[in-house]
Amino acid sequence: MNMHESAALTGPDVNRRDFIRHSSTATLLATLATGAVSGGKADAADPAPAVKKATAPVSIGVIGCGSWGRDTIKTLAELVNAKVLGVSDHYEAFLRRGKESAPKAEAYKDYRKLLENKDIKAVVVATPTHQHGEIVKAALAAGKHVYCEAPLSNTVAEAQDIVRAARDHVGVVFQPGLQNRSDPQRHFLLQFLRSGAAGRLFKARSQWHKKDSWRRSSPNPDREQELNWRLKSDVSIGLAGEISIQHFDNASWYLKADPIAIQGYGSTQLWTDGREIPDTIQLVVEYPGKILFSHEVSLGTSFDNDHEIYYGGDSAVMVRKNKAWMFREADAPLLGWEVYARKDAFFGELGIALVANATKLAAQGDKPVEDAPYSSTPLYYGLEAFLHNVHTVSDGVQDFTDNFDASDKKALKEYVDSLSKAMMPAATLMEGYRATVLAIKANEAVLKNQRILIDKSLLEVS
Amino acid sequence: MKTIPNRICFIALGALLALSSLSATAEMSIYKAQSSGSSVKIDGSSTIHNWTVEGKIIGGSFEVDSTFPIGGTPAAGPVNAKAKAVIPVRSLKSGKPKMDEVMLEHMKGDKFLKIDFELLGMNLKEAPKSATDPLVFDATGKLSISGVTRTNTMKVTCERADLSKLKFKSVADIKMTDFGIQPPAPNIALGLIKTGDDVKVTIEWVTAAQKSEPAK
Repeated sequence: MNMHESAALTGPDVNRRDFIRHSSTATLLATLATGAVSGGKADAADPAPAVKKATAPVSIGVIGCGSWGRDTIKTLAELVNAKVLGVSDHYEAFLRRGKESAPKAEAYKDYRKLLENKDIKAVVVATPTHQHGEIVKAALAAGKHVYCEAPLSNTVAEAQDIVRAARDHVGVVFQPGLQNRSDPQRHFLLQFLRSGAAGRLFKARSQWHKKDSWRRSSPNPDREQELNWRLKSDVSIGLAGEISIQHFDNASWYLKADPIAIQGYGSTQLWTDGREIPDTIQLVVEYPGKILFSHEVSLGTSFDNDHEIYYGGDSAVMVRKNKAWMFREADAPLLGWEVYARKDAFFGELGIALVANATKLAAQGDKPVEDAPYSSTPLYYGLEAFLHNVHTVSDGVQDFTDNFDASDKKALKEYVDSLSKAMMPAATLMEGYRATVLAIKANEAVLKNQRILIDKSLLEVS
Repeated sequence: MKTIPNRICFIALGALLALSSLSATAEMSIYKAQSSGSSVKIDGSSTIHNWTVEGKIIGGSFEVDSTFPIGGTPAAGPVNAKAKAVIPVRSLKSGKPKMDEVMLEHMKGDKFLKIDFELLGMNLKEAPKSATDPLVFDATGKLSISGVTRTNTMKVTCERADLSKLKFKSVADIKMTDFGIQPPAPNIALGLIKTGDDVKVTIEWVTAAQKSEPAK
């Protein structure tokens, strides 16, 4: 590995000394001074979100009322600055259930009618992946802010169309559903890894296991076909699209690089019901510097659930949902704070809990035993960021047009871009696009049992 | 009761008419706020660190008597000019969403949406040595923040290298409490954190020449 690659992996943003300093009393006070504390939850990493206070609610519509869409509606109900005004699904039973989750919302069988509602300022698109393109483009054309579940599409061409459409609509927020990018605990880990506290990262591994056929039944054969879109290779990008995409994005984010190749394997082992999508896949994703990220997904076993491990020269860091632990090598230098940190035993290994603020509590002489200070779901944080950012951008556009020539789109775009520092952390349009491309290519690698190169040009959209 | 001689009344009336006629025909050169290049920066302090809030929107316009040689070497003295500048309070950003909320709350941003400045009088401090040197004025105006209006005089520099655009610069030291703003002092952290009352406001305001029209 050359020096440039090495720097890219440890990152210039935070150094080891900074990270340790950030775990001090001064940082606690600084964090408090900026008000990054809410509900007794202190914020460790500077850019991590912590805003809970209500602003005027964003009127929102949810398109797609399947299980994820309904989870979204329920999560929006927990957020004080969201008001679900509309739900839409062309399938009557799902629409009814969506409406039950948001009793005050108008129910629309046709999403285009929902988009015609001028009171709805933003939409969440939670339909099957292959329907995203048409709906997202229509929503953007209607001037709605869009939160689109990942992947953006099941084809590269359509994902590119979405990128271009989102770029064309200045002053409209587009957020891909890569919700870990908004999760404060993830930001805390990012600081930790980028600081080099784990040493140079040289490999990563992740898995997602859940015994579940993915097959859904319906008394109506046509509906059953439609309901099982995830099992059909013409519209679905399989486990890579539904599951791996979040892991790819996490790995690229933490390793601060884009993959250069993906090797895939897959087969149907347990659910031999004629499906076109393997129920078990294994992937090796190659990053610059020959850093390998191995990843596997299976619908055949629930054992050991889902987790990620990032391996550094000084320690490995394991992430399980909103918790993380560091496993030190015997020759790793002492960081100091870990002496006071909570430790959990894992089959003879001792995991040092990496919990946002635990190190600061230790420095304060308090008990660093808080289990998980950020206990909301990643979806909650993703939607919270979306709502905040919709507010920031909408207000910014209003302020601009109140004072200047609104037809000057270039100046408006410059102004909206300048608001990024006031936004809460969230996946960007291009991060959503790149993760989508990786998922599509990973699925291709699995279906062909091949190594597929990821050309850099494929990760950009002109 | 004494009466004012008719002759004096006629003279006074004539003078008034002449003045109002002059005023009605005075041509004003208008410069409108531009969407790029302007900035407002507020620097403050607290017991643990300094902080900065920045914004990029300053709306409004500047008008100056068209006989004023804006591109030349005008003599020192009063200038016939008008200006109104507007800064949306919520456009001021610290880079930390939570701090922005605290600031908006303390500035009563939900009720008083804008910071307004209206020019009352302008005085060119000294004649510039060349036609491209910046003009330095003492500007007196009404500054309204959070519902409190105060009359302030500040030094304003006008850069005029490109006559189609004027850039006004000013730095003012103000106290939050002068405008009824209580410096934030979060009751978290055992009350250890206190924000300083004094802030420094740095303004750069870019305006561009518009078509001249008679003043109303």
